[in-house]
Amino acid sequence: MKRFTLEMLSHLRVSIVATIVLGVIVSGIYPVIVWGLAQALFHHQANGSLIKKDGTPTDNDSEAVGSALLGQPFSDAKYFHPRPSAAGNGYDPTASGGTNYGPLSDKLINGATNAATTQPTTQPESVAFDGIRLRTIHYAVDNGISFKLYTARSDATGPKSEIPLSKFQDAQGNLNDVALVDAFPHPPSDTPDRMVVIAGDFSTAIPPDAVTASSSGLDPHISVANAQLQAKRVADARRISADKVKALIDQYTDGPSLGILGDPGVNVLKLNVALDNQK
Amino acid sequence: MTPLTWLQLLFILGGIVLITKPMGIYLYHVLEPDRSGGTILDPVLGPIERLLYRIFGRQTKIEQTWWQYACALLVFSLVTMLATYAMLRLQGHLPWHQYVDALSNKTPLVPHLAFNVAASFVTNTNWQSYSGENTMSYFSQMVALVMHHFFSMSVGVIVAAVLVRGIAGDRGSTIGNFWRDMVRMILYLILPICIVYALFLVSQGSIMNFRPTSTIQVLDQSGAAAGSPNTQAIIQGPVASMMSVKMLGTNGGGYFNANASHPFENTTPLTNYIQIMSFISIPAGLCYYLGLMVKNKAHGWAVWLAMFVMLVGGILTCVGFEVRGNDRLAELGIGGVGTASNNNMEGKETRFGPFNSALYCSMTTSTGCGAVISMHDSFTPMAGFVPLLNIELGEVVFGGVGSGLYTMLVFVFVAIFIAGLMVGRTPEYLGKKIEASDVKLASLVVLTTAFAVLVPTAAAVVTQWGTNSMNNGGPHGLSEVLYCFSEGSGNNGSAFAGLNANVPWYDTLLGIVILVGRYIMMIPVIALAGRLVTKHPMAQTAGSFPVTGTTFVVLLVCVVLIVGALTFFPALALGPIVEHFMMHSSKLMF
Repeated sequence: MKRFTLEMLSHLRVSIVATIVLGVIVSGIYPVIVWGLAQALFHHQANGSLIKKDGTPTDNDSEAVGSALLGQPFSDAKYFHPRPSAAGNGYDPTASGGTNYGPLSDKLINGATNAATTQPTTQPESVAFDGIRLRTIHYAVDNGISFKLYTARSDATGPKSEIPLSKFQDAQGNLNDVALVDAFPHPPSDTPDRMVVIAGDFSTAIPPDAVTASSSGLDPHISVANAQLQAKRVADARRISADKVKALIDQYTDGPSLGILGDPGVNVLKLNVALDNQK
Repeated sequence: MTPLTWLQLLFILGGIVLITKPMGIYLYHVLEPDRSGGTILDPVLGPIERLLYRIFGRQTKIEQTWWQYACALLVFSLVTMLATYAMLRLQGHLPWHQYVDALSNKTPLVPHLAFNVAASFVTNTNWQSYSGENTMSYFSQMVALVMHHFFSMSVGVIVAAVLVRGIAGDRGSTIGNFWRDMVRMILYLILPICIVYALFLVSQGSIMNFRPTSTIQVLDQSGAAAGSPNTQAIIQGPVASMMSVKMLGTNGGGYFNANASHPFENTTPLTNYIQIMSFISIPAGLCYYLGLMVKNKAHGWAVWLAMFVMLVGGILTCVGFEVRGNDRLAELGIGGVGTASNNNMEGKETRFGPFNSALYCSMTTSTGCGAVISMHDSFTPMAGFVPLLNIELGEVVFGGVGSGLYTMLVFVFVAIFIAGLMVGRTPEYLGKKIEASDVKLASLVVLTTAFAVLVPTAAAVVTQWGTNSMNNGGPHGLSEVLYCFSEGSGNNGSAFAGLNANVPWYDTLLGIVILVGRYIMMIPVIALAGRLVTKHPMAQTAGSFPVTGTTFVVLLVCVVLIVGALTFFPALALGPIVEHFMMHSSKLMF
């Protein structure tokens, strides 16, 4: 034991010196060298790839409308919409991340609601998590993809009968999300004879990226198929031709690196900025 | 798998083959200057190297025994770990804390988290139960954490070098000098490569600055009524310099919570490819270094091949299942399950997609890197099984820098021992007899993994503190916990990130598992080196057990798989395997 302690102590002085000296090198000198060269050689990228309303690079936070590399929220019909995001309330760079729901998670597939409360204040029932099923319906409605709503037994035996979407819409045509999520199947708690509502017979397959959250929550891209399906809505909202819009989609599609690595993606912010700067 | 994905796979596998020899040769020049004459940078950086030795003192001049080497390593690791703990606890008094203060309510970091982070980074694990951008200041990231990126990777490599020197030695008693090895690794290998690498990453889009968080008015201001934010707070900081050393050293600890799926960390599929090449380069190169040192290049390649075979098997399995997609999404109008439905985009980035995400997942868990470009928790069950199994095999499929090779060499001893039992001869490795004490040391390494993973997992799943943190229920929840302790013991650092591990019990217990997994495995390895270096190799005869060729590779692979399977199959059966069958039979969970 004494021999062990003496041995350890003999290394203590050198350890402390080494920690400090090597620490200064790797945590002081090294990052400063990288920082200096990065700012000199790649100024735009080193500072976040910020762009202005006209699409040109900027260094100034107050002029910028975003980073060309990070997604941001869009909801107006005249813009292309990005993927769902689990970063904070959506595209929050201070809380990057995904949902981490497993592939069989009922919450992920069918969504969940918060029950109505009376304490501490009166809150009606609300959607806690929208879920993929609800998102496909919204995407189809937003982008003019036809589909049917059916009601059937939750154990999938027996016939399914069609019901009109208007049952879940208010006078202005807005969807009643809470009612839909409640009506969806929820296998962990369903009895076999519960009647559930599902959507089906979509005229076009919904692109997976349009209804799933990305890993970072800040994905700047959407798939080409997703962009193509949104093109008509955007063109109509802006009263320009769909072909013009599709040409812009091509222009702002980042292809696979070196032609073969990775998947192509359409940069939503750059595309929307370009649309705003049209004509 | 489409033709394009096969092409990408070949591009990556080809890259691994091509990078092995150059990196191996360079490692040899860095680690063995006396034998090799030093690297091409020696004339340039030599004066700095010698200055550092003068500052460190006469400890740098001693040729150390295994005991001295191990003590130097332990004391240095303890000092650096305490330094990080102190810096994290004192974050509020150190530079740049004001940028993160606005976002975090954890300045300074609470004790259980600071302990967990310090333990995790000193061991090359880089498990992060915290979210970088709203917990760590620029100073903490750049100094407290990146310091360990450099140090832990160096320590891993030099322990592997020490074992190889022991195997290659002849009637020696010393195995090198810890301080010289550390300095040479940092000065000649890590710094030059990382400076260039970091600049490449910046050119592609990674950020590198010290400015405050950028608050931006977003383009679409109409969303406010619907609750969508009008502004975006873009986190800034010294990211690129951290990324290069994070990947080269199979560290894996990212700047942001989203790790390498964040566009500022991994912007394009090209940066992704370079990242993969960088984190596999040293583990692969060390196999070649082994071959050079024992003057038997075929043996180095044989060990490499055993690793490569398991790597490719894992990749094909993971990719095959993940690309096939999630059956449950088929009925939602998203598109069916087929050989390449690619419909499981949950937790994946558009630019990467299911193929690259699964490929990276497989490689990051084989190598002990632990960085992620997708959320493993959202993978289909059998695709999620692959990272778990990779880690549980002991991180020997290339593994972490250094730790992969030395753990694999332990398996080589076990394999030769078993072969010796089977044919009734005294086991010998490259002419050196493997004796009872050697086998005991090797067994200690293997058994540590089993205990360090299974006991805490069992404890967690039967207690409240354990199950409260699960994000998903049922078998997927078990997978989350199993993954947590597996990667801790194996020093991987990736996660099924739904698990809320930033709570006192998990942080503390996992921190201990991480330290045990690293040092209880490392010290026997150094001791083994000390025993081996004293032995005199006998001449190779016709009866010597071959350490090259198909028999050896097959034996080694089988030993690794069987030991891993025996230890972990019951747990895996209850986790991902059950979940896979549930997916097919249309059962949804919580």
